[in-house]
Amino acid sequence: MRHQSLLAYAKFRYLKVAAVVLVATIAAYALNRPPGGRYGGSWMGYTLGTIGALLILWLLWFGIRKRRYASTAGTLLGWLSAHVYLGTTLLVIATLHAAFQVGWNVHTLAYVLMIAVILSGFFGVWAYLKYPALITSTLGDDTLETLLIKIADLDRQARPLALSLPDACNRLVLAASLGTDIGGSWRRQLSGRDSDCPTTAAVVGLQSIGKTLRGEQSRVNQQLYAVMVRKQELVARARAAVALKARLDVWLFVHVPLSIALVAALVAHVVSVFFYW
Amino acid sequence: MRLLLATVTRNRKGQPVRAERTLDGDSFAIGRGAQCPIFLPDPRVALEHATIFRSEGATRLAAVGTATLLVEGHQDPEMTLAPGSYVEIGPYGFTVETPPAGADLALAVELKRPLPDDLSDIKVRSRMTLTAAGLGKRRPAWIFLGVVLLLFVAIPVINAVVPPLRAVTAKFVLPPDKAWNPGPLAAGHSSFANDCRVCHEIPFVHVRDRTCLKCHDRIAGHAPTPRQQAALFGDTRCAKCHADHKGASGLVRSDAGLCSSCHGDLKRRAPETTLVDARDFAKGHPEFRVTLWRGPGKDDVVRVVQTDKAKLVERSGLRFPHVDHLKSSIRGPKGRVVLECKTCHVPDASGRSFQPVQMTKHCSDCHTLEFEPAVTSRQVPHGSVDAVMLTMQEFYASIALNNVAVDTVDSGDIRRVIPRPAGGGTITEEQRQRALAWARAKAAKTAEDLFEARVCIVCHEVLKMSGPRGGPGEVVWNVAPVRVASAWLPKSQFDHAKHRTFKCEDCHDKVEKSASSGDVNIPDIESCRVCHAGSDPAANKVVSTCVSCHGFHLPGHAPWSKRARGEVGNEIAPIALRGGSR
Repeated sequence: MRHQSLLAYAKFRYLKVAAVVLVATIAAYALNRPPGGRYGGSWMGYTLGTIGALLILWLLWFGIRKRRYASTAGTLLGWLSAHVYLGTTLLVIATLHAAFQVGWNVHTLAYVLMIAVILSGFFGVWAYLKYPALITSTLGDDTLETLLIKIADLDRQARPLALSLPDACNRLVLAASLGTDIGGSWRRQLSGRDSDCPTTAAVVGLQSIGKTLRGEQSRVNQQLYAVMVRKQELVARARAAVALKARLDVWLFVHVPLSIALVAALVAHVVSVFFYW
Repeated sequence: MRLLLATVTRNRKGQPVRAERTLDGDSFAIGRGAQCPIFLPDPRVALEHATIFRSEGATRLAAVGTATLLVEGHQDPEMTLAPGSYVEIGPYGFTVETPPAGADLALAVELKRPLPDDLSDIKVRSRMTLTAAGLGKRRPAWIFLGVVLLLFVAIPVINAVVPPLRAVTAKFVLPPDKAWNPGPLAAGHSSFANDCRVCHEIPFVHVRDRTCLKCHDRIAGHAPTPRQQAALFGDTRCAKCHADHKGASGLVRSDAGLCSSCHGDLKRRAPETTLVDARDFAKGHPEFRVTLWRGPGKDDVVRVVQTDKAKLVERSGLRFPHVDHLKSSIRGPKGRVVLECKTCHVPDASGRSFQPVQMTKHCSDCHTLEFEPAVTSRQVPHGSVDAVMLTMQEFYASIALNNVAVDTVDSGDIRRVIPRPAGGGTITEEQRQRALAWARAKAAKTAEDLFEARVCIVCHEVLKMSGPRGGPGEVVWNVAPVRVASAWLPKSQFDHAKHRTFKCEDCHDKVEKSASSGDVNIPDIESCRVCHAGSDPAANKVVSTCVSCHGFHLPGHAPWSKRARGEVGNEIAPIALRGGSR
């Protein structure tokens, strides 16, 4: 099957649907001039609010639908495409529902959470379009697993070479072998760097110690240095791949919890409106 | 010294496999260096870690440099190697065995702690997903859900149901009622902002009119009688038009639909109405109809369309040609004066309208009420005909009685002083009667001059009547009452103060040339439309809706609170509204 972008799914079917929804919403809003001015409590306000609330519930359903691998109700890509485009229309529907009015209250809280969810979703779309290709180009023919196998293999080569070298060299190689890790905390994963990397320290250290060595030790050290440089390159690639993956995933850790917060704020918004009717 | 060194490894079943060799020498170096006789190829061992040597008949093991030995759990720099003793060098364990014959020392060495597998080790150390790094979705989602529902649903609902809590919740950074407030309240209601239940008395029930009427019980209705109001508005809720939470001035509807929904098609809704249909000011507003007094009663007025020039005549009873007064200058008793509009039309305290023009304040400087040309210091009072007559009679009686020989008095020359009779202050009855007769005649003659020729007639309509009150032949004058309107368009509100940037003549453009007080110089609707648009914005015009000039709650009408059907019964048929459903 030809690869299809989530945006271009079915010849932009859901972009067209979203455009129709947007045009209809904006036209209805513009033509409607309720007595006392436009606001969320006019019948147009209630109508747009109801549409918006139902749309939010449907968008949330995507979180459940994507786990239903047995579902035959459309393809997951189609659902995602609709999720993205119709989610975007919510920006306009909710803004017109509120008639551009904001305040320090639960109503605007719901609105702000909705904006945050949508914007994080936009980042997600951007990430899904950008990072997979970058990850592929970073890994080349490798996978993270094969990178780790190669790194471990270089460690196995390096340690015997270091045995005959001064203790300082040996310590560096042992530390690099036992202390080098890929990823780490979420900040380090996102940065793709480790300022305290023992492999880098070994590369730097071996180079400076190498200048003091002579004869056989110098030759072995050069050999060891080459191994460690290869390892450093592999480690950097693995870290870059992890960083790209983290950037591809990180928005979901904002998008999902804020979606749930939005549902809570939406409940509060609706309850408050009808409680004090 | 001969050393038997057994290197122990483990086969697949974990059983030890020994490889033995014999070493000869004075001492034996132990280390990972290839030159060491006891070669330990592990990075955790120093290049030259320790040495075995004989000293004073004992075989000893000593660490080299900073390297350490682990003897039965303790770090020792040196030890004696006696059969049965055990020492660890890096990951290797050395057991001293009983040397067989021909050997001085027997050692068994085994790698006790091999290096971990590199691949599984780096996998264990590396956290390569955000979830592995401790980021989660479920936990924050549950926390957000709980916090938002608690702060914005649970607490506000409890706060609404349990009033004593309000004292506590009012101290919150964002009190529950404020958090729920969808928009700023009208200025007059802003003091309720922290207590929704002042207006929203019952949860899930619309704000009730009786709540509004607790304060606004005196507000006037829209139709003159409660019955008409009931027919027109029935149980229309206050909040249907007055929705709050729309800003400081958002409580008052100002849209065109407020009025035009009925007044745009009033004839169809109420065929008997005398009102003309009205819609948007720019497109659907009828010509102004000027309210003019026609008498005789105080409230006997007519409303005349401005285009009906024949009927558009004010009958105020006053004669005042503006043209004569607004000349470049006019001659007054103290020289020439220039009169302007504001000389007579002085704004009232609000600036919206004007103080009444008063004869004594604005006219009497020039228009004196002297009646006797010879005596300029005396004037008749302005106001009552009786008072005028009395003043003149008193004046002339005084002259007559203070002088003798009345019969000689030339009524045309009162300046001639007639000497008193010699020796006496007493005049005869006959003299007195003659003097008073003269005074009455003189006063009557002067009055005729005053009312009909010289003074009153200048400004007033004067009617001469014969003897309605006095005896036959007595003449009285009747001055027509002056009914100058203070507002010609009383159904609207016009604020002169808001139009201060204009000159009077910008709107009242024909006043300067007006020769008759019958002229009505109220600007017509087209004059207003120069600056005022309707509900729709127009270039360089002020958007003007119905309530810019008109009110809904009309003063003098029955209170709005009396409109409910229950209060007047259902005895009248409701006025047919669109579709005839009501």
